[in-house]
Amino acid sequence: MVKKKVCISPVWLVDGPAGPRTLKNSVDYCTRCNACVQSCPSYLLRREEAFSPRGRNQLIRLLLERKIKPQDNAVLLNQVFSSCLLCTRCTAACAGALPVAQHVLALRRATDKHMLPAGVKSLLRLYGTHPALFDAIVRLLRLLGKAGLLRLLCLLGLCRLPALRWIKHADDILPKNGKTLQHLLKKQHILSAAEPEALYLPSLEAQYADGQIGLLTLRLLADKKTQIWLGQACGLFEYAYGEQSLCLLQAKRLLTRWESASKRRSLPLLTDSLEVYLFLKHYPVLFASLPGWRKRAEKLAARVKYVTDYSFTFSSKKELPARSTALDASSWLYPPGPLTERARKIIKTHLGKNFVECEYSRFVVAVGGSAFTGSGPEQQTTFENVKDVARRQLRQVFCLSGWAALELDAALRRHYPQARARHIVYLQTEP
Amino acid sequence: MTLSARALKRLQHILGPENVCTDDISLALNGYDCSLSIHRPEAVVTVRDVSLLEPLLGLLAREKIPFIPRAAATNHAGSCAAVKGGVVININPLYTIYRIDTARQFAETAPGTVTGDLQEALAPLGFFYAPDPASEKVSTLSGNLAQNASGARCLKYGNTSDNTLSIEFITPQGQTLLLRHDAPGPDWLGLVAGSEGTLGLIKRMQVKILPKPKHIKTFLATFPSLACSVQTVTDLVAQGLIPRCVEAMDHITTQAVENFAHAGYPTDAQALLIIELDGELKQIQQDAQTLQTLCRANGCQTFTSARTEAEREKLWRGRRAAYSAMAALAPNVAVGDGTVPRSQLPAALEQVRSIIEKNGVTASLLFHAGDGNFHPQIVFDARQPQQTRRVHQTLQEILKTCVDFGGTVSGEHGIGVEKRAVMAYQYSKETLRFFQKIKNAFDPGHLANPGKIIPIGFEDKASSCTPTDPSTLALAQEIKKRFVQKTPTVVTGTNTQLKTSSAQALSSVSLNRILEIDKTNYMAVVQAGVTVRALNAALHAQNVYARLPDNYEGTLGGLIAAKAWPDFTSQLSAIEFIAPNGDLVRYGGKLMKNAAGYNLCRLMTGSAGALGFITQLTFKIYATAQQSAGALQHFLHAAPDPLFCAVKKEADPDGLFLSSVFQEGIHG
Repeated sequence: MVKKKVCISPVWLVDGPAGPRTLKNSVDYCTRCNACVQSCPSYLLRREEAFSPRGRNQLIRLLLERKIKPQDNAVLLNQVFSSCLLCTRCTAACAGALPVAQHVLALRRATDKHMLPAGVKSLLRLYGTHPALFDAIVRLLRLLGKAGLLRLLCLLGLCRLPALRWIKHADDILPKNGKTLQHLLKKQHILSAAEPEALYLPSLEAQYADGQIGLLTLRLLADKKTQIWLGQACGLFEYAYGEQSLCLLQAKRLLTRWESASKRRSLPLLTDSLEVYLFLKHYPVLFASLPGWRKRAEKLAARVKYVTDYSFTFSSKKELPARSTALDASSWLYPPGPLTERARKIIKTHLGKNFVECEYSRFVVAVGGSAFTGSGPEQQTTFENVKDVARRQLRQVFCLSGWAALELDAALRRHYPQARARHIVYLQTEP
Repeated sequence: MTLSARALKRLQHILGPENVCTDDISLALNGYDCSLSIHRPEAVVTVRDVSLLEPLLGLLAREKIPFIPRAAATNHAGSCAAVKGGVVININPLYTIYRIDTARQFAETAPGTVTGDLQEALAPLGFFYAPDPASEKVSTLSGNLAQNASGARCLKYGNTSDNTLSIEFITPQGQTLLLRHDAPGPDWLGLVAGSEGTLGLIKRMQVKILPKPKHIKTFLATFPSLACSVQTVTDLVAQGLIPRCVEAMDHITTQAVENFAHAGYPTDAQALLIIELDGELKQIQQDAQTLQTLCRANGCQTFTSARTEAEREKLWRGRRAAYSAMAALAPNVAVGDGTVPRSQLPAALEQVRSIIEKNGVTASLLFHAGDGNFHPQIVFDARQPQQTRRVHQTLQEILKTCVDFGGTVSGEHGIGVEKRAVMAYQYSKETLRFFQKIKNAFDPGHLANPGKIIPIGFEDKASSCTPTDPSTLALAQEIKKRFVQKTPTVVTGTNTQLKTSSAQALSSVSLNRILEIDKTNYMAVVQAGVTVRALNAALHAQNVYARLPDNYEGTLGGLIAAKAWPDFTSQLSAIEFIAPNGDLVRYGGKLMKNAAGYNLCRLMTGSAGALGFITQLTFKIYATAQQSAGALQHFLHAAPDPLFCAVKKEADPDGLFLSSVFQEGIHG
């Protein structure tokens, strides 16, 4: 529920393609042209103004101007802001490129509505503060899972409890035979370089859900000595679901680590996660009020790389059935911009006619943990995406985000098992 | 007014409680559109089943609750603002495309269907829907029709009204009617188009779809002056070469857009045209040759064509980015849509630039050169009241300039509340009075989107219209006299259709002058008593041609009143008539687009002399011979529909204008 007193400050800085602006100023730049409306998955499901990006912008403006009392409208306010998937498609459609997702995030922070269930939140906080403990707990949970604890919980009906629903969802999306990155690195005798030429920041999903993503990403850096930063948080989850202060702390730690690794020369920092990449690119705005840190963040932002910045290595030309492959460009918090086009070119170059040139689905896959919030349209939008895959009779979908791949793949396994969704680095493997 | 608890309960009963909202958030978020007008309604209802529209409107009529139809709310005129409170009807969930029939070339849709969605559904079938308003990706088909928003392609393919074959229309009393252009009686569909929801609600639409052109070629031409670019377009149209679209920008706008979008436009030119031709390759090649020759003849500096799809996309990128370029500069963008006769564009734009400079505002100027419709986009910060006032002032001055140049205050955005005041500048009090009668006839309770289009207190603000032509003056005086004496009138021309020998017959034969053959705008202004045969002969003598039927015996006025001209929807642009009370009513001009007020050309077409005495008409002419369809079977004896009866009752309450439709046995 929304707090009775909403501490929303008009001078908070939000970042968008047009650069940092205060929240009030950014919201005021909405000309109400409504160009964004058809790009918003939650609007397409409801078809009501309040659930459109324009509606959300106007609502924040009214809240900032104190023309709407939060305490009198708590339920609807909660629905309106929790139903935003932060997919940023509205920003891509907006004439002024307004960062509506950032506006919504600001309001969620103001209302203490962080969305994630307490269990997930605590676990993720642990990843930022005590990575070793987090690692141990995840291992334990996996063991318990294999031992049948989850089945027991389901039998007892505990998984239906709102506070524990996330456990079932986590089990749904995690690959059944997925190995951790640490395990795979050990098995393949890959060591982290002490004097590196490149740095690799694996995403959480690459570390714990599907280690193959990490291995395939490392293949992109085959000719370079690479240092692998396991257990390194970047502050993204705290930024979206937690506390700003903790987010800044984690960001500072990452920044300091990068600087010390880059003493001799500025090293590229590669990540397999679209969300992490875009977040690191926007580090300078995070430090907008700390000029010294901002400059340092700018240097890091200039050296952050995503997998599509490197040449993919293909073992052979693939023989795939016609109409087999498409690209899902679901993103989170920031629009992927030219990345999408680059990824599309890579897939098309390799697969030729087998790549289905199509408009992206109108719906997005819940990314960045949105599906764990259980707050609104996330399952419906993912299901709409599955319908889209089935309609086009696709066999595989490549995603820019590991998280999107996990979510979409789980939905496909359930509703349309002919198709698979995988991270784009999987292009390098045999079908 | 305040909604009663009983009314709310009944609304909930019809639509379901979850679809009736009276909370602060819903009210605040449904009281605006793309304009600066914000007025909260008293309730917002969401309709999720099209069959509920009739009971809903019936209930609102019984409870006397005003309603505001609301689709995507992308209009720039304040048409969705709830100025008188009432209920906002959200029709966005009604987005089904019922049927696409490529054999008979039509699509049938629910009112909330997004125009872009229809285009997407048609594309794989090799078809397209011609109207392309800039907001087509988000705006709805019924919203486009309600504003008659048509986009750049209307020069070749006609406006949204022309591309709508029929609609199911619900009157404010909750009665459903099927409206078609070709049904007997006035063209109600043409009248409802552009009425901004003030006459009722659209329930279902059948729109025309066309096979996609096999080839499209895009050209960019730059000119040393605006006048040269406009003259090129005029020459093109006069040759009968109608491009798919012609978009233009002045020097300042080109620079702003180029800095923002880097589309490769030459920034040293004073005017720039983007011209697109479509059709068969051979035809395009021929037309391109003609186009280049005409451009060169008008002093074109550069003439380039897009060789690949990527180059074509690049040329359009700049034009499409014009709004974004301005939106990035300030929090608000006010967009105007005045329209002037094409020949007046250079002078009008010069005047508009000076108004913009005088008021110290920042604005870009884009225009559809083919139809004289231009869009000043003024950027400002609505948080600064002084700046906002200045922008309002600038827009008002620009719109008045359009009227001074023989144009209209709205080409496609509509009037809403934002341009309501300048309507009194454009139209005489007699015309506005007639608009009011139409509104009263359709909506006696003033429940449908009230407070829009017609200016408040226009009787004091608008000027009076008196006939300048002696024959018209004599007729107006005679009709006025009969009105005072309650003497009936039977309107005739050369008496070829009606064949009446009534003593009350009043003939238009005295209106026998061709007033103007305008070879700059390619329009003819002709008195209604001129016979079609004589008119065709006179036009041919001057080497111009009209799409008039050549087999019609009778006057031009008779041709319109009998709805016997098949091409009336696309050819007629202005009308003058004497109302039954002797008022001289004028509507339109030498314009390709006019979205200001109710379309009286469409009302009087097929009115069979029951609503007024047509005195003068303006229509398109061409430099090359035109194929004309033969005259249609006239509708002079068809029984009047309920709308016709209602309008007749308002326009002629004493029933003085006897016509074949409303009076039996007047044939003598």
